Amino acid sequence: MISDRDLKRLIVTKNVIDAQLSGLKWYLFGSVCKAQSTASDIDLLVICKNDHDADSARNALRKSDLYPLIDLTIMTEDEVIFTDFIENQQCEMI
Amino acid sequence: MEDEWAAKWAIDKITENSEVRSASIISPGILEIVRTRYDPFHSAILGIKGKVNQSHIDRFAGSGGSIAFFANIPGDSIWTGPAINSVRAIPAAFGGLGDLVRSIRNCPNVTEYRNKELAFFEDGLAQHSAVYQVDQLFDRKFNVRRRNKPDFSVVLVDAYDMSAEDVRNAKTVYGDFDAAVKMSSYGSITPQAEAAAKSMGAGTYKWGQLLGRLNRK
Repeated sequence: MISDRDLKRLIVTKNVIDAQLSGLKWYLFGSVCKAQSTASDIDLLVICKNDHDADSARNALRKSDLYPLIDLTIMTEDEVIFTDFIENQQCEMI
Repeated sequence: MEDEWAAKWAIDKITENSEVRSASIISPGILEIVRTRYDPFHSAILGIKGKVNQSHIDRFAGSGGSIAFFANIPGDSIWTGPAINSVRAIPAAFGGLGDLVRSIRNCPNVTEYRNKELAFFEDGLAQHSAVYQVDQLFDRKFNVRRRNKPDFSVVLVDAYDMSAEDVRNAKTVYGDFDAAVKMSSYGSITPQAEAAAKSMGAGTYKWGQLLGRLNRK
C-alpha cells in the first residue's frame, strides 16, 4: 500500500523541511523497510537537536499531504541513545 | 471540497489493496467499496483537519443508516466523544485510513470493527475495580471516574518508545491530562518524556503502572 511514489514524495518533503531546520536526521523503520508493498503506513524517525526543533519538525510534517500515511517518532539525540532506537528498530537512514 | 479530496485520495489508497474489487463515489463523501471476499459496504470519507465533531457525522443522517464506516483521512485529526457516540448509535464503525483498510480485510460485518488497541485500553479501564465509569472524551483520551477518588484523565500515546515530543504533542492535541500512557507493552519511556509530563503536572505510565496508579488518590 506504500508506493514508490509515496517514498519519493517523502524525500521531497524531507528536503523542504531540511532547508528550514538544520541538523535533522531521518530514518525509516518497520514494515515499510521490510515489505513496502504491504505496509499500511510509513514508520518514520526524525532525530532533532532540541525540543524546539522537535516540535517544529512535527508542525512542518503536519502540513504535508503525506502526513496521514506517516507514523511519526520524534526524538532528541539523547533519547535515541537511551532507547537504542536505531539498533532496536533496525532503522535505515534516508 | 476537502471531503472530495479525501474521497479521491482514499480510493487511490484502498484500491491498491487486493481485497478491494472496486471503490467508487456514489454521493458526495460516500464510497461504495466492493470487496473480493466479503459483502460490499458504504463508507463515509471525511477530510476533517482538527476535530471530528458530532455535526460532521450527523450531516450523513439522510443516508438512512446505510453507512457502515466513517473514515477521516487527515492523520493529525482526532475524534471527539460525541462524534464517536453518534457513529456507534447508527451503528457504524469509525477510524482513519488504516482502520478502514483493516475493516475491509478482516470484517465480514464492517459495522462491528473496533480498533483492537483502543478497545483493549477502553475495556481495561472500564473493568478496573476502582473505576465505575469511563467517559471517552476523544478517541485516545478518557476521563476515568473512580470510587471515592478524584476523576483521572488518561491520554493514550501510540509510541514504541515514548519521547518528550510524544508527551508535548499529546498535550497539544488533547489538552491537559493526568496520565500519558504508552500503548505498546514493549519499549520504554525516556527520562525526557517523564520530565516533560512532570512539568505539566502529569505522569507517564505503562499499562501495568497505570492500573496501580488508579488505586491511589
